[in-house]
Amino acid sequence: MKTSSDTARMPVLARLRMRFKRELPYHLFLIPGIILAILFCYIPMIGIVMAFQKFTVFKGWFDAPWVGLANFKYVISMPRFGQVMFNTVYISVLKIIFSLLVPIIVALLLNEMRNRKMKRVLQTAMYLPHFLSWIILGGIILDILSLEGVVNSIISAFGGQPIGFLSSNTLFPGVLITTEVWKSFGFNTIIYMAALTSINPDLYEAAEIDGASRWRQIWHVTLPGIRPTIILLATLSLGNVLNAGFEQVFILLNPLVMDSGDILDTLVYRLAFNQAQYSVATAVGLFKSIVSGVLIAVSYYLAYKLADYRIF
Amino acid sequence: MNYRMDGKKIFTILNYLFLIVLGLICIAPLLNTLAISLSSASAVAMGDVLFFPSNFSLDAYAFIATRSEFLTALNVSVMRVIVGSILQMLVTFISAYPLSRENRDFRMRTVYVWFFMFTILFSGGIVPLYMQVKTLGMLDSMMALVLPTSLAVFNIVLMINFFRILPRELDESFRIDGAGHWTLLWRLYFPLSLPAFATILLLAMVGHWNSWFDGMLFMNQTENYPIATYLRSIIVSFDFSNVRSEDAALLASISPRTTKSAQIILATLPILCVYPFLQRYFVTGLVLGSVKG
Amino acid sequence: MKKQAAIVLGSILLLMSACSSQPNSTAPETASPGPSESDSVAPEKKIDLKVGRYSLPTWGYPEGDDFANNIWYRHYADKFGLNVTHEWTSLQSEYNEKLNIVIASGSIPDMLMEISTNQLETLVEADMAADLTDVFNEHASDLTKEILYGDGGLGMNSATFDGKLMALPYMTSVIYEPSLLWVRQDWLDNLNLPVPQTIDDVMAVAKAFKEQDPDKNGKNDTGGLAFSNWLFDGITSLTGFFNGYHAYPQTWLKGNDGKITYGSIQPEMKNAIAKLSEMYKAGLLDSEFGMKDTPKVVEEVTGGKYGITYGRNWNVYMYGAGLEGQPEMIWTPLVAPSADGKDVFANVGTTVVSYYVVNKNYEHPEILIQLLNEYNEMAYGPKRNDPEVKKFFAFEDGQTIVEQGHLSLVRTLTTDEATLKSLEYVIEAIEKRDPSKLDEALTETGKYEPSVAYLDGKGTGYMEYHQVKGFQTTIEHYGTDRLIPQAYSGTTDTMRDKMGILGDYEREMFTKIIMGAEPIDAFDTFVAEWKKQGGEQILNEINAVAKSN
Repeated sequence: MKTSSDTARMPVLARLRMRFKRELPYHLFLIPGIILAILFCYIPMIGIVMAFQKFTVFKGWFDAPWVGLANFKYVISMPRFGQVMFNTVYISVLKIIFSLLVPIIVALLLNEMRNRKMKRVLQTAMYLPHFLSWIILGGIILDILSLEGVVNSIISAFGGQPIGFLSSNTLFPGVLITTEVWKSFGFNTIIYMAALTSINPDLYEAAEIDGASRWRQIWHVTLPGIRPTIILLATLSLGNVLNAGFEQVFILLNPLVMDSGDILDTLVYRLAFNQAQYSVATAVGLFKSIVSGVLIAVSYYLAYKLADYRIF
Repeated sequence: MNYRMDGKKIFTILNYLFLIVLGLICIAPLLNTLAISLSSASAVAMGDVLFFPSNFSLDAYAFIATRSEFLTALNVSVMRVIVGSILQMLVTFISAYPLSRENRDFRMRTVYVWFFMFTILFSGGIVPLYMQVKTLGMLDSMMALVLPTSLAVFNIVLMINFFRILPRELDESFRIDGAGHWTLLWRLYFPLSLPAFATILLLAMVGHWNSWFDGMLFMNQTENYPIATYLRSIIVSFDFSNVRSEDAALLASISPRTTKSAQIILATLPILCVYPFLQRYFVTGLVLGSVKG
Repeated sequence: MKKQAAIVLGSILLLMSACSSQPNSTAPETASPGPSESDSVAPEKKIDLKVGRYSLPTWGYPEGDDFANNIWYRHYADKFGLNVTHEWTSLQSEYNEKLNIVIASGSIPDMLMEISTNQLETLVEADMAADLTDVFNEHASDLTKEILYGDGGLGMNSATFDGKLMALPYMTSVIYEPSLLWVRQDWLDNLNLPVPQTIDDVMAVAKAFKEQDPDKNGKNDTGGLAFSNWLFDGITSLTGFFNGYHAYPQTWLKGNDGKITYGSIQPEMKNAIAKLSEMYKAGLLDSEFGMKDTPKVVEEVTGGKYGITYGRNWNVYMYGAGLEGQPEMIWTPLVAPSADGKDVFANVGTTVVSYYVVNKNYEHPEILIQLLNEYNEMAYGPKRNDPEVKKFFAFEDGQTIVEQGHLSLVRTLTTDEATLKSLEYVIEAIEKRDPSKLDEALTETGKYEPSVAYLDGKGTGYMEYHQVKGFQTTIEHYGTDRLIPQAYSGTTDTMRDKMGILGDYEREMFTKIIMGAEPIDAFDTFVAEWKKQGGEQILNEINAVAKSN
């Protein structure tokens, strides 16, 4: 193999040729992904121009009448738009935080379980809600949280007053967040469990020899060991900061909690309902993309500079 | 010593309790759906069914057995999961490998990574995607369900991170023996990253199984609907505001809750069986002794 | 290594070429010689027709048939040499979405069936719809013309743009639409109550049903008046209640000053809402109605939780499932009770449900007219009672009757007057047990057998009989005279932009006021806001159009 001093003595062209030969396989490996990306992501991306047009029927991407920022203005001019934006960010940030915390805690707790079979059964159980779509879960949650439902029956049994979970503006966001976390934590727990298995058991041994208690072991070995995974999942979920979970909110929303529960996507849905307003939907999508993009880029560089960790 | 033992025991008991309750809360809705599917329609309407069937009846399942559309849709989904998952895993695997290299070994790496990341941020929406698939002649074919989804950037990023955990000494020992990248990939990386592989395979399979929108968008015949699309059409409520008198008689035959619940159970069961099967691969981890040196 | 890379590359390329693009073709006319099966007018040329349609998974077919191969398509092939193929099909629940995408993509099949007003306007604007004016005048049969113009031309007008007919309307009979009051007779009997005739009666009955255990099961599990958070659906709604106050929600009304205004902002609405708010406070309404959609409330009614609710004549089809657990369940339909003793009118929708459109590039637009002629002839013409023709609607497959009428590509209901008369004949036939009376009726004759079976105690026909009762109530009181039709049936620009959110705002405010979260006077705020947020603009646009017509 050529040493670096050998390489330094080579003429520039030869050096380039050598690097090319060495890196060629990497490029080749990426070709399928690139073709797929071009075909199904980049070519359709031209459609983003719809955000600036009054699009009804396709006659060529550049033939529809241009309206500049009119689509954006239309959405912003909707009554309660400010409230809607606030709700969107508030709900999704809380969702992201709890969706991050709960799986980590559960994964750590599961990891402490010695009984392998029990672990497996519980993991499967926790993964279940993920499979049921909101269409189904929505109806069930409405039943459970209604004034005559299971939860309020338990509260009454303890002598309390039934609580209108789904009709109160103060409680509704909490309901959204709790049910969302409940549905998705099993999914992320699995990823963390997989990450946990790849931590070198020697590190635990060393810590134990040094006299560390289980808690200290977790703090100093486990958590740092899965830190990359945490940062990764946190960053990727930043891409969702303006999403807030359309399907869930749509199913659970009712006239009494519009103030706290209406999010960007439900607003757009109502605007475009029956009207096929693809321009408006694309405009809002573009807006969301830009915000997500900026957030992800910022966290990528922060993680790199501060934690010396390249997320991707 | 005694104090510590007690503390540990208490913790263990509480831990088990907490996790079991959590597990039960997660199973509850599925149990409820199962119970409904095994009850009679009138018991369900009266609200009598919680976790146990009331007026036990297999009518709902018998009814489904006669509906060929349900079974056809299941078929489509099985095909889709197998072909789509394998394709997605392949693409993910071979794309993650170069992207997980060091920047100095692969100069254009960052460019490529952002090239891929860009695709999950920006999208033209459903209309351009529909037209692209149509132009490629893939409408109404399995291709439309497996090709666009074979590029799963989220999974690629996950895989990149798992690859990076593997120590570089392993690479070098292989390369010294003159092995090429392809060999490296399959002989070394693949066995070592089994947990990651199993995780991402699970994500891919579940993704395909639950994906309903592309089924609705790209399939032109209802016989080609995957199960998720079919289920959703059945469950989404009939539009009552515009019911015409001549359709009224047909309303009576729209599936009651019991049939819908039975379909949900049947549609969820297959994918549930996958997880325990893949579970064993999650535990492997870094077992090879080659690292210790 | 290079070899392996080459293999990867090669297989990818192979994969790509396997899905090569296919040319996009509109329907060409193929001339194929050969005799057709029937010996009637046997066209020698075969005409292709590609359509997109929706289906329901609950549709049944006679042995050997399916959606793509059914009695109507075979008939079309025989009579017109038509070869119908499905360019795409979808289930009914996503038909609208699928249509939207297909239209947006710019290439539509030869004909589009049952599209909405919005979709029609989009197609006309994009110059994709064929001008049917000439082919209609030339090919439409007298019967077709009579039916399509049966509402005085409103329906045809709505399909006409710039004087050109761009679509055929799927007409409906609005006499079906009044919102009746449905009450459980068995519960009334149990409590010895008479049928409610005024709004105060409604309140009294609701109270009795809620508090006095009408189903006599010893449990406090029944409620008062049932309705869903959609407020104005065709079932479990409030429309009939509002009609009792002479209020017509969600209707464009012609005011006394000749100008068109909106029903939901009229002062009469306030009185009705005030009463509902009173009832809510008294616990006579479901305290969580705001969270329950129509299917949910329907389920509760079916399960025996409620016994008084408003809705249209066909509602008992949905409640029939409850018969199994409650065999004593009987529903009585009533005219919506009046609040002030004056006659109650019912608001109804437009006479058009949807449209049929022909692709501009299709070479045989006259086919659409011919298909409609054929349907009208078979459904409403003099030969409609022939067993050979009846097969196309109700096919006797052994013991079961398989409905087939919906498989026809083009359909329409008949005129209000004809429908009214038909219903009268059917009702008379049932009363007198005289099937010969059915020969005069044009529609709903299928209700005869089941209704008679029910009345004779055979244990079947429960739902059909209840619908007939609903028919009776509807035509006896409302007929064609006590109906308030929509004064405007098109879409204006601002309507397209704002009507969706205005509708939501309306429901939100009404729900809040009824539940007491807002005071009754908030209604006035609602009216002002509604106008400010685009309602005023919409009314101006509508009146401008109306004036120019």
